[in-house]
Amino acid sequence: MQTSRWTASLVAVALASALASAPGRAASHREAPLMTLDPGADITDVYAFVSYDQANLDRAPADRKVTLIMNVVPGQEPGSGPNYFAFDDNVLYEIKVDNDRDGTSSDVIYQFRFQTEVTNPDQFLATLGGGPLPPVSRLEGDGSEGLSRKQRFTVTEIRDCKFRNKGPKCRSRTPLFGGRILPTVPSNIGPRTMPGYESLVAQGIHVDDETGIRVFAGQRAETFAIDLGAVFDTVFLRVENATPIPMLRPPLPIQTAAEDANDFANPFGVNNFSGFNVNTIAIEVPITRLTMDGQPANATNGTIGVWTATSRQMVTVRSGIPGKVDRDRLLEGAKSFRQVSRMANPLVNELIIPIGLKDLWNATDANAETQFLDAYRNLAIAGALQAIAGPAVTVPDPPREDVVRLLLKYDDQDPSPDVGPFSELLRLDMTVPPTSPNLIARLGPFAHDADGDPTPTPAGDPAGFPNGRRPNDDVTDLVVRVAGGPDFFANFVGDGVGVQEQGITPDFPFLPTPHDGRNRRHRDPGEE
Amino acid sequence: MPTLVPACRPGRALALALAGLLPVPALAAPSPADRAIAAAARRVQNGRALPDAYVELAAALMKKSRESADPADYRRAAAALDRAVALDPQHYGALRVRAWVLLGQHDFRGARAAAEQALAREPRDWWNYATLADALSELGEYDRATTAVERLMELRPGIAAYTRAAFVRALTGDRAGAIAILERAAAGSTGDAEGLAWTLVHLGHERFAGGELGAAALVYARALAALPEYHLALGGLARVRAAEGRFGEAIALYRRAVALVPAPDLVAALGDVHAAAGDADEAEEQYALVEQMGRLAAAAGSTHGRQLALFYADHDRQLPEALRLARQEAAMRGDIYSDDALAWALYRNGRFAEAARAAHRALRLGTPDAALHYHAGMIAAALGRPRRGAAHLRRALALNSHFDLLQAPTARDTLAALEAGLVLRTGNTAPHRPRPAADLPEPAARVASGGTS
Repeated sequence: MQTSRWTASLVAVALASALASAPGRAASHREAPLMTLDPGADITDVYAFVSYDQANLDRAPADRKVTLIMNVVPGQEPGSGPNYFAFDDNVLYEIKVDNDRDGTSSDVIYQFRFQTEVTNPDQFLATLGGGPLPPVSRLEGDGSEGLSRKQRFTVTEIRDCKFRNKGPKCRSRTPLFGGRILPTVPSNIGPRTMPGYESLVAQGIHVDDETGIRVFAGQRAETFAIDLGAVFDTVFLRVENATPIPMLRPPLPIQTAAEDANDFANPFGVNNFSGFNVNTIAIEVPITRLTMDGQPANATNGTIGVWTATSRQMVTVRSGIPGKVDRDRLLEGAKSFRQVSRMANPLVNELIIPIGLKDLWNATDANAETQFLDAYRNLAIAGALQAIAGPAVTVPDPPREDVVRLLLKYDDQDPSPDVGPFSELLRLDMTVPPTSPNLIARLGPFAHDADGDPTPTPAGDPAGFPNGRRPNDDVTDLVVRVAGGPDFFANFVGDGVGVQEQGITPDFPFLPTPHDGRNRRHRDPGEE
Repeated sequence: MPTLVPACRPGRALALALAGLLPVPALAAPSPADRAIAAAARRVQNGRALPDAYVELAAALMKKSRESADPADYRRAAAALDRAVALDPQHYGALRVRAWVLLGQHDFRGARAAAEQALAREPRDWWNYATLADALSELGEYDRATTAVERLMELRPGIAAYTRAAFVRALTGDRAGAIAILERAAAGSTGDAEGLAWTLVHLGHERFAGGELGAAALVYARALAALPEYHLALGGLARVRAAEGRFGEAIALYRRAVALVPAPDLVAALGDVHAAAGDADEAEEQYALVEQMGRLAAAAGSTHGRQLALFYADHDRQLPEALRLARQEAAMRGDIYSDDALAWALYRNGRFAEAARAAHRALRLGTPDAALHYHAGMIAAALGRPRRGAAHLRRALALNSHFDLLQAPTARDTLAALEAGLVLRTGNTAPHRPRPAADLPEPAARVASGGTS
């Protein structure tokens, strides 16, 4: 007791001196969380493209399929055990398609719901294998003993919805895969626990023979390559690592045509997503299932608009009569989902929507974009780019009707500024054939050679952003150039990050093997 | 293109921009809040996107305050908001974050006003309903607070809405509902360590309030797994260990918590464990430290009036100061816990009739909280209402026989005495004067009809 008494006195003295400088230290009311992250509902990227795997390249155009992807739970540090990453059982995940170009994307909706089964709550790690338990070689049954929790999902297709005051009314609702509950693919723990990770992935790619639909839900590597630190620092793009060009660089991160034409190096930016993983929901659907008339894509039915949303369940707040427990009322709101996040085009939420409106924007339908038109027209990022570039470079003046047309309207819509509908959708012309993986260029339709001349077709790559979006399209450079205007295009301004080191994945789900927890690393420029 | 002027020119002016706004960098690995502070500070330093950058810095500092429990972070956040407002008096972001800062500083009326102003500007921003609900519940306007939480739930279901809905459930007697909602909130907040840990700690508190010691300990351990060395979880787990009679473990846990955040209620609880373990000298040392904190707090202003008042009342020390603090808190707030602290301080000062009225207000929502019933029971007994006193004490012990290390035995002894028909004399009051019972409705009866689960 002597020792402890002595220690206690020391603590008391230390405390007293700490208190003298900070009287009444510590908060003391019930501070419920306010500003929190919600990664399970956070959509980080959306991709929509005609599948470019060999099977689809080989198909006749009338038989081709389209892949739609939503990535959630962003920025996963691969080694983050013990529970790793999962989808959220309480979130409704939706991929929505507008196929009649009315801007209301209620024509075809794919809904994904997840459920987690904890098979061994006492296991100290969520996943074990290669030790007391055999390595994880199967998602279900023998070989899956190491998975103490298994997350499974259902897919439902909803068609022909009309929006009424009370909400959507849909004519058809089809549980796909015969209503079966499908396994997801768990996080890539490491080579001892999961020696054959891609064989688990193969088991997690589910094919519905009846509809020709394929789905996958599980972890993949992040392919979105961006100097996020620089872009979010008010697009203060990094030039300090670039070879200086007298009189030109810095301050503006302009590039030579040859630098910009190189799809195999990150010239000077820092890819903040290097070595990170995401959770992917991918669905591949025959084009004839997406067009408004069920026919192969043609000039009149071939363009669709895609967006994605996550919603959370409400719960009843009042419990009824004070003091009387009324359990049934707890889930009264169980069917009432409220949208908490949405995404279609990249970087809209991040770079266009003002901070104070982001939550509202995320809770709004993609077709209600009229209320945010000012943010598109008075593009704040354009002002920031002008400030960096200085008076020598001209960034187009507001109102930016070019931005409105690109992000909110179909090509064949009335271009006049007052005429809607305005709907923030990722638009995909499904008549454009897929580019084979070896010819995919990071700048897609804007690809050019070392002299700056556009790559001629048929070697060109018209099947990329802004015509839909593929996992390796360099949307950051294109968005910065669109925002900055013709001078930015002419000088190849970009974030200096163009590629993800794993390259292009030529097969469904078109995203690379996730970095495993044991061997993960994040690469800065110049690092091997 | 000709040479362009550099956009960023670091120098004295920029260093000044951040003067007094940043906390001393922690020695430990930076938390998400630390990184948010650094990112916002960089934006302020770069001199772009002001005043947004100042608002971002204020929000990051508020996030930090949740980890550090350091009121200096509130002052820094307020100063950052002042800079933003100086640049743009109409800045909406500054207004909505201001409500949050004022809540931290216990200016609940100011917080309500700021939230209402922000709400008038942007009635579709869920944030404003969260800050308004917090301010209203501290001010005791529970019905309006609940309506605000309902609106928050409609605009943005998620951890902010779930945790506040759970609070409404717990206050109004639906602890099972509160637990179910908190479990859902925890399931949906895996990416935010501090938010998850906070949610789990309050889940633990609800389990403890129901006397489920084992379940509470498990949840506190989950909180510590999410956020190691989280003072609230350490304190929660310490309380469970003390209730289980594992005093050594409890002392070690409280010491860790106190070393992180020297809050008077934690130091007092540490003293109580020593007292329960029979070490009166050590207990006295901790109690003396709480009193020292009280003196410093009185001199410098503090947000701990309620905890100090309860400490003084519980331990029969500085009873006039207990009453002064409890009255001051009650005037500033209006919630049931301020009424409860006032009731207990009045009781210890021998003012039983006033105490009974305050205790009645404290139970106006039918909250199934053992401490509220214990206080009400002791007050009723002192007023010569043995039947009601016994009912409240029975209820307190039925809710959680471990509700307080030192007070629970008193509750048991008093109940036994009441049941044996003995005349009750409290330790520090005038001789008990018999009075006719039942001139107030019996709050215990209303609550006891359906509150347990």
